Amino acid sequence: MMILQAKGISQAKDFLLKHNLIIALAILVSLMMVLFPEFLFSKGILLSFFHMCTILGFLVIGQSIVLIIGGIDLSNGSIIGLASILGAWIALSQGISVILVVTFLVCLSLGTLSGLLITRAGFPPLIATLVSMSIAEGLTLTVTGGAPLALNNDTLSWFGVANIGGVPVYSMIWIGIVISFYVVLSKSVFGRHLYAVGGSERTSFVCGVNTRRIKMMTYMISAVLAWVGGLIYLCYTASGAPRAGGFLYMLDSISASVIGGLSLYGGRGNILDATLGTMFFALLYMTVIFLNISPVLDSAFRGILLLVVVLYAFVKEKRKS
Amino acid sequence: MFTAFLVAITTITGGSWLSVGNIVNVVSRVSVLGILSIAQCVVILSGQMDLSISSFLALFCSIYSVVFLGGYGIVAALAISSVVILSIGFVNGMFASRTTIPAFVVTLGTMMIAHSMHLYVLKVARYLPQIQNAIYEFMKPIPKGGDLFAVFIWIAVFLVVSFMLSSTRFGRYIYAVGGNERVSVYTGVPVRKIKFLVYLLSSALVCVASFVFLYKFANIAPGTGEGYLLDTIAAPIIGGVYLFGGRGKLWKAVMGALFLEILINFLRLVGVDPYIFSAIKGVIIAIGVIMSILLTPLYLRTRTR
Repeated sequence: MMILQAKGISQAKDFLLKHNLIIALAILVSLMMVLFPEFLFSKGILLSFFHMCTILGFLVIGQSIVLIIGGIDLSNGSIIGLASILGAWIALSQGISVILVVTFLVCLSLGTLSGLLITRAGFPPLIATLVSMSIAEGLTLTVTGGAPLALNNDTLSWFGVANIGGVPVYSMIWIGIVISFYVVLSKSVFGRHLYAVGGSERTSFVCGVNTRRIKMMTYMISAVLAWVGGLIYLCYTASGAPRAGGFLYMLDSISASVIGGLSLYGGRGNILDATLGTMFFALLYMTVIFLNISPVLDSAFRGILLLVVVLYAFVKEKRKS
Repeated sequence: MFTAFLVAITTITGGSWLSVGNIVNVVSRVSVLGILSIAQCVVILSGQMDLSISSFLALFCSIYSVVFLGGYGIVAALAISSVVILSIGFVNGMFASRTTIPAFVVTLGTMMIAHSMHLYVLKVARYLPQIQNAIYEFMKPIPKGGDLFAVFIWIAVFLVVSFMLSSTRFGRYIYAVGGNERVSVYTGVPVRKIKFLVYLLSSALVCVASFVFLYKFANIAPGTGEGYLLDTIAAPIIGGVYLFGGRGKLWKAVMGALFLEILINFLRLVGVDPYIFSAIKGVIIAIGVIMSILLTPLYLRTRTR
C-alpha cells in the first residue's frame, strides 16, 4: 500500500516538474484575476499587455533559435530601438514602403554583420553580437541625438491600435509566426539542422550540414524579428524612442527563453515553450507594475529574475543527470 | 605591439597635443578606466568575463556618498561600500565557479542588480553630493597634486597585480585555468577556487578604482559608470589580451585603456559626434578581436572546446 502511495506521489511530482511552466502560468493568471480584476476588464491595460507580450515575443523567437544553435544575441534589444527611431525619422519625409524597406535593410545588415563575424571571423557569439549591439546603439543615438520622434504616418499609427475584440492585430500575427516557426523547427530539414548544429557543431559539419549557412541565417532571422518588434513598437506608441530600454528587452528575451526551457548551451528547447515563457514573463512584469514597485528597481528585479531562472534551469539539469 | 603602433600614429596626427600638462591630464583621466581594465583583464585571463564592473563602480560611489553624507565618516563609508561590492562579487564568484552557467549571464544579472541598486540609493539620497573635500582631507598627509595621485595609485595597482600574475602561484593558476581548463583540473589546479577568487579580486579592484574615481571626480550621478561598460571589455581586447583566456600580459590591457582614451579624446577634439562613439567602440572591439584571432598561431586557433 505504501509503495503504491509513494509511486503516486512521485508520479505527481514528475508531472508537476514537467509541466511546471504551464502550472506557474496558471497560478499567476489566477492570482492576477483575483488580486487585480481590472486587469482583465480594462481594454487599455489588456492592450499594453498584448503589446509587451508581442514585442518580447518576437525577440524571444529570435533569441530562441539563436540559443538552439548554441549562440546568444545581445543585439536584438538595440535593434528594436534602431528600427523605431529610424522608422520615425524616415516617416518625416517618406512613405510607408520606404520606411519598411530601409529599416529592414539596416536591421538585416546588422544581423548579417553578427553572422559574418561569427562564421567567417571566428568571433564568439557574445562578442560579435556585442559589437552589433554597440553599433546599433551608436546609430540609434545619431539619428536624433537620443530624443524621441513622433510618427508621421497614418497607416502605421492605425496599425498600432488595430484590434479585433481587444486583441491587437499584431499579436495575432505574432501567434501566427510562432506557430509557423514551431512547424518549421520541428518538421523541416532546416529545423533539424538547427538542432543538430546546437547539439554538436562539429558532428553536424562532418555529417554534411552547412553549419556556416545555418548560423548566418539564424542571426539574420533574429535581427529581422527584432526589426519587426521595433516596427510594432513604433506603431503602437506612434513614436520612435531610442531609449526604449533595449538592454532590458534583450535581457528579458534571454530570461524568457530560459524559463521556456531553452538551454544556454544549445541543442534543446522549442518555440512553444519559449512562448509560454514570454507570456509568463509579461504577466510577471504586469504584476510588478500593479504592485506599484518603484521603476528604479526594475533592473534589479529583472537581474534577480534572470539569475533565479538560470539557476533553476541549472539545478534541474543537474537533477536529471 | 599593435597598440604601440597606433598610439604612435595618433601622436603624429596630434602633433601639438603632446604637452606635458595634457599628457598628465589624459593619463590621470584614464586611471579609473585603467584600474577597471586591470580588473577585467584578470578575469579574462582566467577564461571568463565580468560585465558587472561598471555598475559596481557606480554602486560603490553612491553607497559611499549616502553613508558619508549621512554623517558616518570616511572610513565607515568606504568600508560599507567595499563590503557591499565585495559581497556581490562573492555572488558572482559563487555562480561562476559552482555552476555551469555561462559567466556573462551571471555578470549580466549582477550588473543589472547593481545598476538598479545604484539608482535606488541615489533616489533615496535625492541629491548629487560633492565629496571632493572629504577625501582630500583624508589624504592630507600625501602631498597634493590630485592628478598625480590618481596615476600613482593606478601604477601601484598595476605593479601589484602584475607581480601577482607573473610571480606567484595564484597568478600562474589563473593563466592555467584560462589556458586549458580541463588540463588544469587534471593537473590538480584548484580550478573552482581560482574562478571564484578571480571575481572577488575583480570586485576588490573595482573598490580601489571607485576610490580613485571619487577622489578625482567627486560626484556621482545616475548615469555614472555607463560609459565604462564597453570600455573595460574593449581595453584588454584592443591591447591584445587573448579573449579566450590563458594568454596575454597585464600591460597590454593598460595600453589598450590608454589607446582608447587617447582615441576618444582625439575624436572629440576633431569634432566627431559623441553619439557615434558607441558604434566606433564596437568597430574597434571587432578589429581588436580579429587581430587577436589572426595573430594567434594556427595550432592554438584550431583547438577543440
